[in-house]
Amino acid sequence: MHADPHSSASSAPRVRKTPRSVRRAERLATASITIGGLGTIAVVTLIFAFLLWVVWPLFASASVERLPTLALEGVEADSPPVRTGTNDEGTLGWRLRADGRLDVHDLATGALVQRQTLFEAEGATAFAFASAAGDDHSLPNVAVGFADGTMRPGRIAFETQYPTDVSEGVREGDAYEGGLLTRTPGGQWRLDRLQTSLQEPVSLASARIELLDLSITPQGVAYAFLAADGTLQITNLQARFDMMTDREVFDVVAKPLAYTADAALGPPSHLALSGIGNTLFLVWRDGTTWRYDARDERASAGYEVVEVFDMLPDDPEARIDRLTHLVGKGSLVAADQRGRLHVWFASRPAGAYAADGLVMTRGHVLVPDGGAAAPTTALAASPRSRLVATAHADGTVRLYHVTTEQRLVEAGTQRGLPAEALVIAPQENALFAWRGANLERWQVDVGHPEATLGSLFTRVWYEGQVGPAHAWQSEGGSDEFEPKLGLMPLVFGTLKATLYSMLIAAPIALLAAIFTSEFLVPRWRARIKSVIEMMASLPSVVLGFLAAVVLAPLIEDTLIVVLVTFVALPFVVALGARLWQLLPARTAVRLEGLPRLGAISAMLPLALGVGILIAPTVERLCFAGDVLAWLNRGRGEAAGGWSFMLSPFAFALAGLLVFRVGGGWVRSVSTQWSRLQCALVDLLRLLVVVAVGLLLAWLLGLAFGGTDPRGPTGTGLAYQPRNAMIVGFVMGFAIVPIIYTLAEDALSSVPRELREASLGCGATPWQTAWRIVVPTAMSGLFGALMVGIGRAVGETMIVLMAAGNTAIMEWNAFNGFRTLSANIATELPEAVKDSTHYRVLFLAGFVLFAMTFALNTVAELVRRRVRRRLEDL
Amino acid sequence: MTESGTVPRVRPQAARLGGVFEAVSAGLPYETATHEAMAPKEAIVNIRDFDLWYGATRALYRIALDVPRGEVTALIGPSGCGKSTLLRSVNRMNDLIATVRIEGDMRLDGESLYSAGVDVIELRKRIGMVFQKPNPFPMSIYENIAYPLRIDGVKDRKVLDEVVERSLRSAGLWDEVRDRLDASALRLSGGQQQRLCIGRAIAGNPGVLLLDEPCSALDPIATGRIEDLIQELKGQYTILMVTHNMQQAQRASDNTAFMYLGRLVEYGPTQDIFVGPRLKETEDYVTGRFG
Ligand SMILES: Nc1ncnc2c1ncn2[C@@H]1O[C@H](COP(=O)(O)OP(=O)(O)OP(=O)(O)O)[C@@H](O)[C@H]1O
Ligand SMILES: [Mg+2]
Repeated sequence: MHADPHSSASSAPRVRKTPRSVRRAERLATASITIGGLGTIAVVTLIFAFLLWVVWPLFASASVERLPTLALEGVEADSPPVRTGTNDEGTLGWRLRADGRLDVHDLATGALVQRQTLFEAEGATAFAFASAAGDDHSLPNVAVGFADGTMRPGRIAFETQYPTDVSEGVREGDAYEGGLLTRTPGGQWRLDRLQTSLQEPVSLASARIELLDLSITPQGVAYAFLAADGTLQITNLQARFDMMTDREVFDVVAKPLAYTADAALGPPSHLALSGIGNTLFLVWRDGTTWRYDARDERASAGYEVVEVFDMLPDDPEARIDRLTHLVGKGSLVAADQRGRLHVWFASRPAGAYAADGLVMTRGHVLVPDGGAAAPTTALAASPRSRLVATAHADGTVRLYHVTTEQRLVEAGTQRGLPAEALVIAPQENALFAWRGANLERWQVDVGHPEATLGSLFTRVWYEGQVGPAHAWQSEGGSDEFEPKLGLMPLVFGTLKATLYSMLIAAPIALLAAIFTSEFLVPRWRARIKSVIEMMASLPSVVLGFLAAVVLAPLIEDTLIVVLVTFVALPFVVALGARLWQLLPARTAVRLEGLPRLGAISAMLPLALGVGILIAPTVERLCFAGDVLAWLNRGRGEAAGGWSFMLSPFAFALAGLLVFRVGGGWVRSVSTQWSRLQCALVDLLRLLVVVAVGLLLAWLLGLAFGGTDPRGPTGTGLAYQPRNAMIVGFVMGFAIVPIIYTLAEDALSSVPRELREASLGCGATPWQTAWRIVVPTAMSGLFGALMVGIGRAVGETMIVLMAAGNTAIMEWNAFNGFRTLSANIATELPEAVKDSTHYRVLFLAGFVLFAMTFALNTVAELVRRRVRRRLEDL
Repeated sequence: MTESGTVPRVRPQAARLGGVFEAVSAGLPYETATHEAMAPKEAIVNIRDFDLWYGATRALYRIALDVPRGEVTALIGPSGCGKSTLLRSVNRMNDLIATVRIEGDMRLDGESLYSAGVDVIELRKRIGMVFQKPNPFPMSIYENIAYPLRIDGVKDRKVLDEVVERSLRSAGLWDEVRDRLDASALRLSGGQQQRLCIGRAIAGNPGVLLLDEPCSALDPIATGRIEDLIQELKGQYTILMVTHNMQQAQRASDNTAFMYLGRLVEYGPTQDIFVGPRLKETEDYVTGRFG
């Protein structure tokens, strides 16, 4: 042997030692892996913490702080105001008396800044004030009715100027030209001043105006009044530019309403005109309310009462203390003598009895703590949102959020005196109560009253709806629109997207994985695996627009073919397998490899061919000749659709009957048969299954035909071009590779010895796959599915482009949906930072995070269980 | 190709010359020294001029071997000589290896095993196999034994119970596991697992049992049990077993085949092979002077 110089040189046994460099590398690797792992945990925790930090303020409760009572300069103790108001910042406040005197005070000091007389006439009998919508400078926001039957529209509004000619020596906070002078952060002077104007009287009636209201409508301004002679009218003043006089003039368009005084009821106490100026409410102190509908523009005769209801239905003794509209004038709020608020709005239930199909419903009752409070002395609605404030005879004030039925603030005045007027500052950061010569002030932080755990995750009764519902609609057309921030439709959409894509992806991916790992030679297995993995490299945005632009229209055009192909596919595959059995054994063995793969791949095109072939017949028999018309317009009978929809169940049942029940008998007599005979009998049985299945489907259709899945109006099962089925196809396609790869790995890692043991016992490859390989790889397969679900839950681009993004909650495959992820992607760029909407979007992200987290945890737990069970049993 | 059951080709002269190993190593032709005593025995498996390649590597050279019905035949030979390959060829387990190519033929009860159209599944039901490494399924002991019946569609609990008990008794495992038939088979010791695998093979009621070093992982006591088991099974089953243990081959088998480098070198009754081998190489190997 050739001697090694080293070993021969020193005959003593060599002392083994790990080199220093190896130790160093070892330490370095350990350190970097530890740092990487801890870093990952830290980053995930940080993201979690950040989301929580943004979301947390949503659930913080409102806070209130009482500021010292102010004595208002030049105000007598016993001259109550008919109306008060403040500017947006809450620095100036106005106070109008019935005699026309209008005072403006500095709300920080109580100093009188401006005093004027709005109207001279003694006989002002009715006042009306528009709510927030009066921001258009050309439109009146106030109207005063007089004893002589005239009415003067006008405008009371704060305006801001930036004067440049302020003389030296003037200091900030000084009264200046009837306004309040402040410095902007940029050093400019800013002058806030109340601007008032009252137009010339318009003669409305021949008797004194008793009740008056006005609304800013899309067409202009609508006035409603009740005169002492019983004239009840809605009057539209339509602005028109008169070329002759070169001035804007108003055309009076009067809509008379039928009204006869009722001696038993007495005169009504309130009159309220809806936001679009076509519904009028006449309200009596005891809660009796008449609703007039003046929407029909062409009606010449008087409009009639369409609905009579009691605003205070629980208590016959109750009486209305104060009445107001919520912002947008869609809801009426009546405060009763026990301090409770009853919120009413019109909705359109299925069985409405009123002529116009609407019914007034009491959506909310807001009850003071303890169930009752002192009588209400003042009631104010926020010009911005659904906040209302009440002042009570015992001197307390309360602030509520209507939609979520929360009482945000409850506070007392300094001396326990009841307020005469109440204002929620336009920025909702302060509450003002006028009492005699005094002003009570509270600084409030209402937080995010629209968002509570209840409103985010349970049903909420929004204005105009028949009942509580889950809804997501964050933006509307107008300022008065109330955002609907229910997350359940989004969670639902996410689950729906996941369900439909997994319905497509899971069977395909798992069957493909079983097929390649158990039935393909390694050479082909590697090729197919890399092809499928290549599918994963398609960007999801490309898939998304393919789905939206190509697939959606294509499927809409060929819907019936797609549906029939679906039903036909299992049969084509079963038929193919039977025909394969018919091949002589020698041929079958020779065709094992590529030809069989080709034959299997041909199943889908074949099924499609069958679909194209029989689709017109199916459409004629089941869907009255046009499936889209059947779905969308309620054409044809319900029974046919049911037959088709339930046919997979019918066929499955038929298969079960024929193969399970008849199977034993066939097996017992078939022992002597040849392979060909067995195959023929099998084929025959398949045909029997088809026949029995068709019969069953027909019977099922008859059985269910009584109820129409399309709903009474054809809305239950309607077809939207972008729908769950499309998303299922495309997202299914997107998540097949990951499920396939993981599942294939799991199956391949099952020890070869187990397969050999099973095959050695005489099991077929399918029996081996099904009884040994799949159960052994179960935890891996489960993990693969869970990863697929995780992908589907978080996937954004495909659902954004192909799901239609309508936040509805229906499992119907032909409807769209909106997922958490797509919703965040579309809305977050437009959401105002730190607004409720913004924070709720973060909460949506948090929910998504929690869902995937829970999913992974459950997956891991189940995986461990399965693994342990395999070992323990 | 000769017909099954004909006179084996014996060339004692050539063998006595010695130098078989050298001849084989040099790729020269050789003839298997098959003892005349094998001729009268009725063969159940006939292996005729069987060649096998793993890709380009040849693993078996013209193997000709008749396995007598109801007897125990041992395959011995140095590691890597192709014993497992030959064994696995008998129930066509080598089909699973894509690179394997064969020539020649094997017959079971006179029916060819390798002709086209043979139903491999049915074939494996008639030839049970126990592998070198115990490979119980990750299922309960009961289900492991019941597996061959389950795949045949047997659902009758009574039949299953009976077969499980009989098979476990035959495999000498019944007393150890009768109380925990529903426990995982993976919880058994190595020796118990191997006996379980034998029980599983028996449950399928095959005519031929292939055992690939069934005792390689076992202690002497467990080995003794399995040897006893083999003695009990013999007669009812034809057993073809691979072993590295000369004593075992001597104790347990009726016939012994000595393989070397893919060739079958000498084949005869065990007694003759161990006491009076025809070839010096065989003698060296069985007496441990080989190397
Ligand atoms: N799957 C395979 N692919 C390629 N060559 C193989 C394969 N299996 C076995 N061989 C080769 O075939 C020859 C015979 O192997 P075999 O396993 O039959 O030997 P053996 O006699 O059973 O050995 P041992 O006593 O160690 O089990 C060896 O040279 C081996 O390397
Ligand atoms: Mg071996």
